[in-house]
Amino acid sequence: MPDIVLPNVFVSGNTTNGDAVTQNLYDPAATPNSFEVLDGWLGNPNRQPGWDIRAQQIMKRRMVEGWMVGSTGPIDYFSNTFPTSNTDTGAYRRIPGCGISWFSYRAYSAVVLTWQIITATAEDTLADNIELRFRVDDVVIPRQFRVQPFTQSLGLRSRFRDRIWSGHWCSLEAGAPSVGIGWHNAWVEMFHGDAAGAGANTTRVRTRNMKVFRLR
Amino acid sequence: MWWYPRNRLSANRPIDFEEVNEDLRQVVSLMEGNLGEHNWNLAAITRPNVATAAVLVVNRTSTDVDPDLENAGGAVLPARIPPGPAGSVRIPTSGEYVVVTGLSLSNVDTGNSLVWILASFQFMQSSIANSGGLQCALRIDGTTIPETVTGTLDTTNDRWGENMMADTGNTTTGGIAFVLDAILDVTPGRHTIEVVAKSNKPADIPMMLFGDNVIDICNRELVVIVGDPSQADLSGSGVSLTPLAEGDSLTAASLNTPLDTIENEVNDLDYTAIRKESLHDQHLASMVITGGAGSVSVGTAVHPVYTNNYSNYASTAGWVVINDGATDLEVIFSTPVDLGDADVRGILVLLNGLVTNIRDAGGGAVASSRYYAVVAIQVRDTTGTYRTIGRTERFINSERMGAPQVAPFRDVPIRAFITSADMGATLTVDRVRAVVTTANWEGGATDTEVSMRGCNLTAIALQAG
Repeated sequence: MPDIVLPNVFVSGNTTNGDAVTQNLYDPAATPNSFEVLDGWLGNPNRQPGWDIRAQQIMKRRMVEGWMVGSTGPIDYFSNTFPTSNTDTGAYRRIPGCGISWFSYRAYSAVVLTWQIITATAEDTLADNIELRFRVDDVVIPRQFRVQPFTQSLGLRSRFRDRIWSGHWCSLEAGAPSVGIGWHNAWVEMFHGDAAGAGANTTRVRTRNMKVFRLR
Repeated sequence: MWWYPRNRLSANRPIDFEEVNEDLRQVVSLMEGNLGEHNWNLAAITRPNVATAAVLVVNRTSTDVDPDLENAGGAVLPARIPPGPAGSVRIPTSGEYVVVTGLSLSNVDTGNSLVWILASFQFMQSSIANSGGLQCALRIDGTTIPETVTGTLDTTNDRWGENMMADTGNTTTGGIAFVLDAILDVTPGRHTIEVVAKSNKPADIPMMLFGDNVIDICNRELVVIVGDPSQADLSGSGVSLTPLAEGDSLTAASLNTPLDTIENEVNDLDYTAIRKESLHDQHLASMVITGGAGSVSVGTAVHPVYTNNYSNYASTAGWVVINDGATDLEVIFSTPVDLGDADVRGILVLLNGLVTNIRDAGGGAVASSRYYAVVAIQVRDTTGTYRTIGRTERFINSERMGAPQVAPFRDVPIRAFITSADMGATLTVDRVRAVVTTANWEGGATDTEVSMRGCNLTAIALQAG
């Protein structure tokens, strides 16, 4: 609201009028021109020039919010516990610890999700399809996937084929789930195929964390 | 709190001084530090009227390291060991964590704050012998954050301990890009935030040509975004009001003076009028100045293939924007970001890409780890000039898993906070994009191919201290 201008100025010699005093004090019909402006109508013009809103005046975790969930233990996956194709029902399994849910009380300018997950496998051909992909609000996010390549060479697990995915996703992307007011969730899920069908090889997953960072 | 006059003065009865005083005291009480969330209008405060460091403070440090691979031919011999590229940090293989110089901030001041720690760096490994990989983590106030540790380096039942290692098998400098990040609530005070790293030497592999130290951390940046920071209070004068007293004459002046005083105060509220922690998202504008995100990929077997050639460090030559055949991986700001504006701290950039193939164009007949994909971030100023952010250059090398080279499927994560120091004479940025190029230091033809999929880029310009 603009600066207030009280409607009644008392003039010497006139009869005092209590209504006029009250109108200056509180007149919702004339906002902002009474002290009723204090009831939710204060705005930037009411501030003294020369100082800006500072951190101490701002409610915590209302302009910026976020947290991290994580785990540190390994999880072993065996391909014979997965369907044969990544298009089969239930082909992808949520990875414990690499998922997060949150409730948005308000809309945000930007929501950023980041995660860190490490995989290592003993699979021996590229056809042993080990895939990670990412969902927000149950929706598979396009272009958010990674592949754990096979690692065996000459019968040995190669030392440089373990992989880390330090991914990110942002709500600013066109077509992204809106993640507006309400409950939301996100997670990384995995498919572990086995071309030979033997199911003998392990893929070890070390979830580290998933985080959500939200900016008003 | 709301206010409503306790006494309603009316024309039908005489004015009582005490009734007037009571009503005025209520108003004055509100303005002496009790104006809370109810007293302010929706969207009352625009961004320029929020102090720069009121919501976010960005602490950052970075180091540029030119690995000079183009002159070393990608090889580790003879000049690169020791001591590694100028500005790099060599990680010992003692198995003990060391703080990575240049990825440490020791003066992060916070209140009851939320901190988002982002560390982004280039890992380079140079060896013709077998060595351990890299394990790294974030540490705050001396405590390692377990949820950020990469791999295990536990060789109990795995010879290599699930480590992060590059293929350096044929006298190559191998490269991997790393990002560690964490979001934490912290207590008020000064904090030290750093990246720690270690390597090991598997016990059953005693031979190392150059000793134990063959792991370097090169280009690197540590960004700590403090949400809800601490900021010193300002002083204020309060409201000076003399109440009407018993025996005073009721005159026009005796009524006008206190009303005018309060009117002026309401129109000129000082810092102390507002109660602590009373303003929030409903009153204040976002600290996001502008931003955007995009992603590209090709979902078929035909990947975009890049065959440009790396020029030299931080050069604008030789790069091509990552593109899926139709869309560039770039963020175009709806309003250009003026990094010269004192309120604009910078642009937070997050990039991920999946390098699927690195090979020579002939089909990869040679099994070599000396082909490279090089990925970086560029910004464009409003004159249309792109600038390569040197510290974001990341080298990823090919792997020898037989001939032709197999797909490495490496994630390339990069985080950067772009500031005015990254710009030239023009400080206004209208685009941020992800670029890629290739390098072939195996010798022979220089037509290396790099394929990428699953790439996404985010750029957010922030008001922050």
